[in-house]
Parts: sequence; C-alpha cells; structure tokens
Amino acid sequence: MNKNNFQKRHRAEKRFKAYGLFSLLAAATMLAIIIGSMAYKAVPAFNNYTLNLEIDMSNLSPLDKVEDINYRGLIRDSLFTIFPEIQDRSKKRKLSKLISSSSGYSLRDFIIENPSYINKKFYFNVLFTDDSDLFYKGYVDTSLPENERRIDNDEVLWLENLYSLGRVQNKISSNLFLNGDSREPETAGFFGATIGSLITIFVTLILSFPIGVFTAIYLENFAVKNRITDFIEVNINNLAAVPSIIFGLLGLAVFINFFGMPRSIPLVGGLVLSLMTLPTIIITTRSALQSVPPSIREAALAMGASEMQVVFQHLLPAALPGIFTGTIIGLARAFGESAPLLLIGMVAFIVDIPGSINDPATALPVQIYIWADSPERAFVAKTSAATLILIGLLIIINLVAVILRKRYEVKW
Amino acid sequence: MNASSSNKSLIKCSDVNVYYADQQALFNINLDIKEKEVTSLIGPSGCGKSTFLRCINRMNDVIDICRVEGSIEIDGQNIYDTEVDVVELRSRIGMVFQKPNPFPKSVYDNVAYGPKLHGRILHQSDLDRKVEESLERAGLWAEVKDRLQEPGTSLSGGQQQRLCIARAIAIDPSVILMDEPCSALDPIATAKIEELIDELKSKYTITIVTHSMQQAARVSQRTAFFHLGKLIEVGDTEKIFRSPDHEQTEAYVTGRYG
Amino acid sequence: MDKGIIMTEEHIVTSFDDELTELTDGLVNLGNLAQVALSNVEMALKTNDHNLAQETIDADKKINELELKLEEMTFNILAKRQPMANDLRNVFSSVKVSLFLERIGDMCKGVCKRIVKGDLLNAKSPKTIDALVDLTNDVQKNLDLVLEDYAQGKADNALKVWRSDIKIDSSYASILTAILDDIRNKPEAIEALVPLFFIARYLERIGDQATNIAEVNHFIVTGEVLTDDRKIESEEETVF
Repeated sequence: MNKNNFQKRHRAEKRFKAYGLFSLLAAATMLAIIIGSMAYKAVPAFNNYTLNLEIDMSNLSPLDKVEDINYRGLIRDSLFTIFPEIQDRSKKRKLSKLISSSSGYSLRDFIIENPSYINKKFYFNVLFTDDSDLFYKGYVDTSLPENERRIDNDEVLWLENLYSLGRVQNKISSNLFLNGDSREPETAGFFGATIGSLITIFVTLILSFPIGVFTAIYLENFAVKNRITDFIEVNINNLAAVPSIIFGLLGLAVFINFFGMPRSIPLVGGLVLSLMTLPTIIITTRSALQSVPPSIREAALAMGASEMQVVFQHLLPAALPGIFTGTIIGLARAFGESAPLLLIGMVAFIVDIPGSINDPATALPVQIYIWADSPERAFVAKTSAATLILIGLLIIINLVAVILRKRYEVKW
Repeated sequence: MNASSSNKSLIKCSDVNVYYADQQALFNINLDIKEKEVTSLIGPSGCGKSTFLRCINRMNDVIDICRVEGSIEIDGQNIYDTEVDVVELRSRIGMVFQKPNPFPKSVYDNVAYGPKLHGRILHQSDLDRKVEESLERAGLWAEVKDRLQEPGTSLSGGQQQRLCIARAIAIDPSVILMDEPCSALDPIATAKIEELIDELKSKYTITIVTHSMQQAARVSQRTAFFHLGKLIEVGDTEKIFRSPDHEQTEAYVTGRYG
Repeated sequence: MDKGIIMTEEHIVTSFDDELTELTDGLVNLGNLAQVALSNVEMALKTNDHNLAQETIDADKKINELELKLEEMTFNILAKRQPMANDLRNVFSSVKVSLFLERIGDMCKGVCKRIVKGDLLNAKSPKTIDALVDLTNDVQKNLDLVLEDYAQGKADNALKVWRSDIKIDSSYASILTAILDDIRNKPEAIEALVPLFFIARYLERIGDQATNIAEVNHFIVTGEVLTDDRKIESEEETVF
C-alpha cells in the first residue's frame, strides 16, 4: 500500500518538475526569439559605408573665412574627378546625391579642428546616404524594375565602380552612439535621447526619492493611525497601479497648462515621472521599514533613544537595502516609459544634445517611437539598435539593484 | 539563596493598576525593589509580571492601548509625573529581553551605542575604555577582544545575550531589568548568565522576570509571586521556596497548578 | 476571570505524585517494622524469650533493605523533580526519618542480642527487668505518637513527646543507679548485670530517635528548625 503511494507521489513530483521546466524553457525561448530577432534587425545599424575622397584645398583664396568655405563644393568636385566622363548636369546632381548631405558639415568640423589642413590636399572619409549604404549592405534588389527601387541603374553602376576602385570602406558607425536625432538616417543617433533620458531620470530621482522615503517614514512611524491615514494608504496603493498615461495627462494639465512650464524639457518630464514613481517608492520603503524586526526598535527605545533616533539610527539604515532596491526598480520602470512623456511633448524632433534640465530633450523610449514611425528603411535597423540599447540599460539598472541588495543585505 | 539584606528601597510602587483597553492586567500592585540586590518576579503565564517589569522603564508607553495608573517612585521621584522625560528615564535603566537582540552593528558599536547616544563620553579613548570595561563586566571581553569589529549577530546565542547585558551596563544604569533573559539559551549559556547576575548585583539593582522557579531560587534574594494580575506574596526568596505563606504561592512553586 | 488555571492537591505531573506516595507509604511501612521490633523487644524482656529475640535479630535485615530502597527513591525524586516548599521539606526529611527508623531497628537488634547471648535471669534483678520493660513501654508510646503524626503530616504530638523524653531520661538514670548498686552488692553476677546496662542504654537511645522524628515532623509542618531554647531543657545527660 505504502509503496503504491510512494510511486504515485514520485510520479506526481516528476510531472510537476517537468511542467516547471517546460514553462521555463517556453519563456526562455520566447525571450530568445524576441531578443534574437531584434539583434538581427539591428546589425545593419552598427556599421556604415564611407567613401574615401581626395580633398584639394590648395587652390583656395587665402581670405576665405573657415566657416564660409564651400565644403560641399569641395566634396562634389572631388567626386566629379573620379567620374570625369559624367558631364550631364542632372547626372552630376544624381551622383552628388549618393553622398550624405551632412558630409559638408563633417568636413567643416574637421577643418575647424585641424586648421593646418587648409591649403593642403588630403584624403577624407564621407558618409554615403542611407540608400547607398543599404545598397552596399545588400538590401537593394537589382532584379526589380528601376521605378520600384530607390537606387536606379546609373547609381548602381557608379556605386559598384566606387567599390571596385577600392574607395569604399565599412566602418563602425560612431554616429549611432554619438549623434543626436537627424532627418537623414545615416547620421541619426540616440545619444541625445540617452542624455535626455538620463537627465529626466535624474530629476525623477531627486524629487521622488526624498519625498517618497520621508512620506513612508512618516506614515509608518509618526502618523496617528486613524481613518484619514487609512484613506491615504489606500490611495497610495491604488496610485501605484494607475496607467502611466494618466500621469502624462496630469502633467499636461497642471505643469504645462496651469503653470505654463515649457513643453519638452526634462524638468517637466522628471516631474511627471516622479509623480508616477512616488507610490512605488513609498510602498517599498514602508515594506522595508516593516521588515525590520520590532525587537530592534524595542532594544533602541529601552536604551533611551527617542522616536526620531530610533527611526534614523536604526530603522532607516537597516531598511536601506530594501529602499534602494525599490527605488531602483521604480526608476527602471520610469526609464522605460514613453506614454506620459509623449503627452507632455517630449516627442519633438530634437537635434541638439540637451545640456540642462531646461533644454528641450527627448527620451530614449520616445526616440524609439519616433524612429519606428519614420518611413526610411534605414530607420528599421536604428530602431532595433536603440531598443537593444534600452533593454541593455534596463538590465544594467536592475543588476545594480540586485548587487546593491546582496551587498548590503542585513541577515536577521 | 542568601537572605535579603536590609537594603533601602530604590523603587517604590504604589497602587499600580494597568489596563489594556478595557482589560485590567494588574490590580493594585504595591511592591518595593531594594537596591543592590536581585528581585525576581515569578508566576504563571499571563499573570502580569512582564507587564509590571515594563512599567518600571515606561516601555508600556509604546503600546497605544496600555494605560498605567498609580505611582512608581525611583529615587523619590514618581516616574509617571507629567514633567518626567521618558527618554532620559530610560537612559538610566538598562533592559535585557527574552530573545537576544543586538543591533546589526559591530560588537564595539553595540556597546558604544548607549554612551554615544547620551553624549556622556566624548573622547575616543574613554569610549574604548568604557567598551572594554562593560564587556569585561559582562564576562565577554576575553571571547570578543579580537573580534570587536565583527557584527554582533555573528556571536552565539549566549554570547549575544551577554553582549546585550554589556550594552545595558555601558550606560551605567541604576537598575537593570531582565525579562526572562535565559529562556532562549542552552543550560551552559544560562549558567554563565546566572553567574554574571550574581557578580553584577554588587553594583546594580536587578529585577528579573523568570518562569523557572529554580532560577529564581538560585539568583535572587527577594521573590514576588504574581497571579492573575495580583501580587500574592513577596518576601525573602528562601522563605518563598522553603515555606511560603500563601497557599497559592505554594501551589505554584510545587507545580500543583492544573 | 479564571484564565484556566486551577489549583489542585495533585501535581500537574502525576508520576511525581505517585513517587511521593510510594515514598511516604514506604516510610510508614518502615515505621511499622520498627514498631514491631520494639514490641518484640518488650515481650522478649518480659518473658526472656530467646526464640523471639532471635527472630527479631533476623528481621532487622528487612529493615535495612527497606531503608536502602527508600534512600534510592529519595535520591531519584531530588534529581528528577527539584521539589519545592512542602514537597522539599517532605522529601528532605524522609532521608532523616528513614535513618532514624533504621537505627531503632539496629538498637532493637542490639537489645535482642544481649538477651540471647546473656542470661538475664542470672542477674537476679527482677525489679530492674520490670523497670526496663516500663522504659520500653514509654519509648513505644512515643514512637507510636510520632509515627502517627508523620503518617498524617501533622506535628500535634511533638511537644508531648519532648516532654516525656525527660521522663525517659530520668527512668534511664534511675535504672543505671540500680544496676550500679547491684554490681556493688553482687559482684559475682556482674556478667549477667552488664548486659542490662547496655540494654538500658539502647532503650534510651531509641527514645532519642523518637524525639528526633518529632523534630522532623515539626519541620515538615512549619518549615522551622528547632533550636535548643525551644525545646524544654532536659537535665544534664547521664554520661556512660
């Protein structure tokens, strides 16, 4: 009889373990598929094709101011010398459109930084446009009729010639990581959005952390327990579950319409996100405070510590690991939010890297949304790359939380 | 068991009544605690002995629904007077709890906490000396002198309790209150603490709640027997355990309670 | 409001009660054996019955065995139960009482040995023999009283027993004087007279044991040990 039960139990345990393992594998597989497909799509964003041109500045009149030099012209001239057979004006224009429109600016920035190169001949790398770049990466189907492609047969010929001349190089795109947003996909980068996110989160942190922690301390240790405090507690718990877009509406109505604050700045973004993070921090802080054994409180009181001293010398230090973890997790959530920021206008096309809490900015999740919406083919890869970076940053933030918790955990 | 000396009373409790909301927990307690000796409070569970102990350092104030009436005079001053500073009162009374509860700090910081908190010792060297003296008096110095920076929680149960005693001693209390200090400890650790109590009584007034009558017989000079919130009998420990006056007392100490 | 605690006559641990009962019953038994031995001594003195005397000598073995058994019981109770208050007084005293009773048994054996070995009739001191029988009676009465008290956990007869111990002491003194006179007057009967002397001594000491038991009874009931000034001053003991 007993043996039968034992076998049944054994089999049931094995089945249960199998179910668990299966669920784990299913989840892991789905995760791997998502990340994998994203990584696959992102690969093209990480490298750019460049054209090596010989720039001849030796014939410039010496009175020209550095900023006024026609750099675009210099580049075009260099390109035309490679294809001297092209005389037709429209064809010349088509040829010069193979190069990114930003190349003039990059040459100018280079000369400004290295003024010794004026009046010299030197080699310089310029970016191709997104379409040319995609051609080299193999995304243009030359078997299609001309009017169904973005690169026509002339352009195909020229691009292939340039390649066989050995002037085409494949480089890791620093643009992606160091540039702000741009209309031209080849120069668009998420650095501006990243900085914007960081500044916004910084504002969120310095607002929500002190207010949240002190509110929790007050509610837990000093508030009189009556109907009013119960009411407040219920509401705080509910707020933690409110959809984030509501906070965006709140921010719009109060900060932008009523207080007249400018849209699209990290200060307002931080204010809105801190409203959203506050309930989370309050709840986790309270929970951390409650997990400190009451015997510590008793021991401190019996030693002649006042309530304030008990809280700040004993409860808070002991609860700090839990508080940090809760805060970091709350901030990680805020870092990945886009809905409330859309409503307060951090969705504008911002090119410059923001420098303070008052500069117009956008956030990384919002940048992803904007790029996802853009028609150019090259933005697909960039969107995926930015998403990967966002996920990576979120993982890092959560890892920091785990490490901090493990390091400072108090064993009771 | 040695006889209680004719020491003067340090703590005088008059007509102490304690209520938890509507329930009365202590009825008209009149009890004197004599100085520089050990007084033990015995009685079955729920008889109010711990409640009474906690009245002495006003730890019952922490419980919202607890109300204390009557007077408890320490050194002539009623500690329940409105102008008494509870925090200052507690800084003169040490308390040791049933389950050892060292702070999650180092051994050194545990003992140094009290003197630093009350700002009584300002120089580091004086503090070092105080910590060593307290640990020495608590019979723990030899075991921890090379481990002062290790967390207090890394010690064994018995050592932790002695650490708590050292912590209490460090504030130079006039009274040490102990609430069943040995119930969580093994016999050897218990014996060490009893030995310690014996040594400490020459310097401190000790009141100990214990559920072991044999322990009360071993360590105390005076014993008070509580039952259902009333003080039934108080007297020399030897008398209580040789031939108590009250039937209830005798029934409890002989184990005739059903 | 009763919180569920009731005071009872019995201990919470019933085996403790069983052990205490076994101990007290055992001591009452031992007391009975001592009483039987003493009453045999009275009869043997009266009738010079050597057989009875010999039986009494043999029966002492039982007394010794029972006493050892009771000692062991007491030892176990002290170790296991850590008795307090009246239990402590009871158990602590049982050691003394069993020793006293065992000594009484020994002394009865001593008297009977003298009866068997010697020839009392050769002493030709019928008056002394009668006095010895009376002495035995008095001692018997005391022993009966203290054992009755002990069995009931009382000390009502304690004072009475002390007082009559004086009488016993003076009877003993006069018996000694009579024997000394006989020795002076009939030196040839000295061999027969000397045992009488020892018998008197034994009987007086049995009386002392009974008084000791009376003191123990008083301690069990009151928790007080008697000092000399609580007892009635007895005359200086005749030293022999």
